[in-house]
Amino acid sequence: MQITVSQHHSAAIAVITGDITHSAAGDLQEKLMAVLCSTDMLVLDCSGIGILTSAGLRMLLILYREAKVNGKKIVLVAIPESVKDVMSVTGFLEQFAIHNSVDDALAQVSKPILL
Amino acid sequence: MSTRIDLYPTAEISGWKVRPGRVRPYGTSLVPGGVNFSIYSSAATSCTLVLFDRQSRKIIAELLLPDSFRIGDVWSVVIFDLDPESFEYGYRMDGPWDPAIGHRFDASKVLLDPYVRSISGRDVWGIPPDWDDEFPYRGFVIPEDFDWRGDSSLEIPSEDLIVYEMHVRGFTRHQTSAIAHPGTYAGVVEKIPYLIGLGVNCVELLPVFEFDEFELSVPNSYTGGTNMNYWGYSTVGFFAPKAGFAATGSLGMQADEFKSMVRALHQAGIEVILDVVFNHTCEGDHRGPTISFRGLDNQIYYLLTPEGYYHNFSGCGNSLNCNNPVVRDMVLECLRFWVSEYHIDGFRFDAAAILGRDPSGMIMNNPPLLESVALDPILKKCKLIAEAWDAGGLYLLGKFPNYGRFSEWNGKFRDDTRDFLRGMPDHASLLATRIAGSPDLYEAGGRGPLASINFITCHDGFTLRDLVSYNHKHNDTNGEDNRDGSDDNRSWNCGIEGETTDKEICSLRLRQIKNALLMLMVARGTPMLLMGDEMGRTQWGNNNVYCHDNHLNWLDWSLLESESELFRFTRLAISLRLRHPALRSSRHPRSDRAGALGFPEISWHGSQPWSPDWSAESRLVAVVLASTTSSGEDVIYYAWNSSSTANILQLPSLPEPFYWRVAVNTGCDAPSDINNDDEGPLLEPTHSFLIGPYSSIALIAYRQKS
Repeated sequence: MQITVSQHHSAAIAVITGDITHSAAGDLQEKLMAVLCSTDMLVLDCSGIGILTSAGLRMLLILYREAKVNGKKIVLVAIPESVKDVMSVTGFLEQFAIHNSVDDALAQVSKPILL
Repeated sequence: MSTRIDLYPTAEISGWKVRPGRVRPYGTSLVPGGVNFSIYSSAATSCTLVLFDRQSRKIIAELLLPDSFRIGDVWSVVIFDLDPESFEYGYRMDGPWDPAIGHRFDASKVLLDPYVRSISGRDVWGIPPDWDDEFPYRGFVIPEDFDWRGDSSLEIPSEDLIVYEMHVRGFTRHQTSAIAHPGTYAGVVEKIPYLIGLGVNCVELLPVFEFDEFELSVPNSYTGGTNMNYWGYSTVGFFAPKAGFAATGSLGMQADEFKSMVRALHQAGIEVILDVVFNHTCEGDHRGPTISFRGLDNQIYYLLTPEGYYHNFSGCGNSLNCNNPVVRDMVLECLRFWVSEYHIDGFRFDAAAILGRDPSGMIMNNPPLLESVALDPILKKCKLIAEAWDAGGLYLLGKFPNYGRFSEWNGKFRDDTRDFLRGMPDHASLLATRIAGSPDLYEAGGRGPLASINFITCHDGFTLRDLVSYNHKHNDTNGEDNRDGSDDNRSWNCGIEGETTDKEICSLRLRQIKNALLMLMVARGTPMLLMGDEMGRTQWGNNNVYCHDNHLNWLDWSLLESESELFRFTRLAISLRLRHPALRSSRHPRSDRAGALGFPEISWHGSQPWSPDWSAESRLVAVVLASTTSSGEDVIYYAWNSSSTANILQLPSLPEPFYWRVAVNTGCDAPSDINNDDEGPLLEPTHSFLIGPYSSIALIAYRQKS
């Protein structure tokens, strides 16, 4: 599992490649939490994810909730169809903000957020 | 830095950092830094926890637990730094091998934890197993942290319930289901719009606790193939959902998928009842495999003969010792678990009479298990349904120890409605009794009609279409020379055995199906419909399809088009029931209590109003059900003619400004066979009504607007 992070205005974009299993989840969570500290919005580019296990999904959801508590936002983009399918039938998908691409997600940022 | 001293290991076993665990809860639980394991055995002399690598499936550690890790009969341990996704586990229990006194310990076996929450080994349905695998079923640990987002059990009153009995796989496995996840929990979700359209508000799922579909893998001499344990009435793990029913079973996410299904069904207003099999386990008799209970504590978990053999009240080799306090706790804990962790709305107890037997197999006056279940605070709002008999000859219909909580699958409803339907003599008054909610069975005990789950067909026996198409079972495809399955079918083929293109026979069969459905939807109690009966599903005369994973069990969705008339009828018959409170009271109707419009709650009629014919040769039953509720007077007339000749009915008169409006006449061609409440023709006040042969009608008292 690898992660590369870039900054785009106020949003950070993290590209994750590889499998997110229990053994990779802890490390990834730490790194993403560090990114979240210095940004208001984190875009997770999931296009390179191979396998997302139960523990990986739960890590992402914890991260997502953590961001929400702190008034920040996480968006998942470009989720591979196979991963999306698993997320859908296990009830995880509808708990995240999802966009098709990084561009779509960033376009949303420039719009005012309605509360 | 940790804030608790019990978050540090105190010992090392086989290279693993450990400390004595907590004895409760049984099974596994995730604790900070590790996993807690707890297991019971009253007679084991030692306990070894065996860990497998989940990927290579090889044993990675065997931890012999020291005596200091045992409290009473319970061993427990916390193992630190254990990645929950990378291991599986089981136990070796050493102890005496002495079958004569009930002990069958065998330390060469690795045993499943009875409280295990997820089981691997049959992750994807139907993938041929590795028959050489010594430990085919293994436990693994899952987080129990599902976010239900506001969901809770629906608590639909039983009088308003329409139960749909279905098999998770059979419901959508057929290619005609045209969905993304056929044969799975996710597939059920995809078909929720269909269930809503039909109008049912409860699904009763055939067994979903982990079972092995390969358990009955015996060659089938008839098909040349291999039989399967398709129905699943043979539990491997009581706390684990069947992985092979999950689209995500290969990822070990069956629990999440199952919960998502329950949540989606609840959002659609549909309850979930589970068919649970506590009467026996998958270990069979003394010749069966040692998987869990037999090797953990044989004499505690099973009903044994004085010689140490297995009592077989289940017909499946063994019988669970349900009223032993330890087993009782397990069953109770299991039910609580499914209600709290999976938001299950109720249970149907398979061969529940066994649950009332004492350790020697005798029926108890006050079975503690049933009392505990009935009065348990966590289970207090869920439906409890007993199949009130067992294969050992104990028949408790009408007298199941119920504590005011258990209802029963009403086998007499099935039998009497079938007999009346096929025109047997002596059945007019019996049909009347069933329509009234079987007061003969339930009134004396003060139980009311909701003690009766009314059904005409269920998974066991003919489908409704086959009930009117076959006089005899045709079970050759089961490979047992047609010996298996019930011979007591009370069916009538309407003239020809099996499928036919004869128009008159086909038309009569369709009418008979409609007559049966109407009976089900009019009768007091809770109706249960068998999956596919609403679209004429056939099993080609097979009345015991437990062993087939094919078209005999899979619902063919193309029937929805070819049998659209029947589907429409079923949908509107359900809707008729739900719109008429007179059909759904929680009390037995009485002829000496006022109903509405001058009618008592129930009144019986015949060719002439107020003159029922209860003679042996009568094949006509006519009834008026009447009630007054806050939404007004509700009066419905219903008549059934199961003779081969038509009959003229003089209708009871209604006070002004009410008129009878035809809701149902199965003697008419569609769409006049069933009308929406406000669409059927109004009858003149002095009207007589011609009821055709083998037909039924329903009339609604309609207030004519001035």
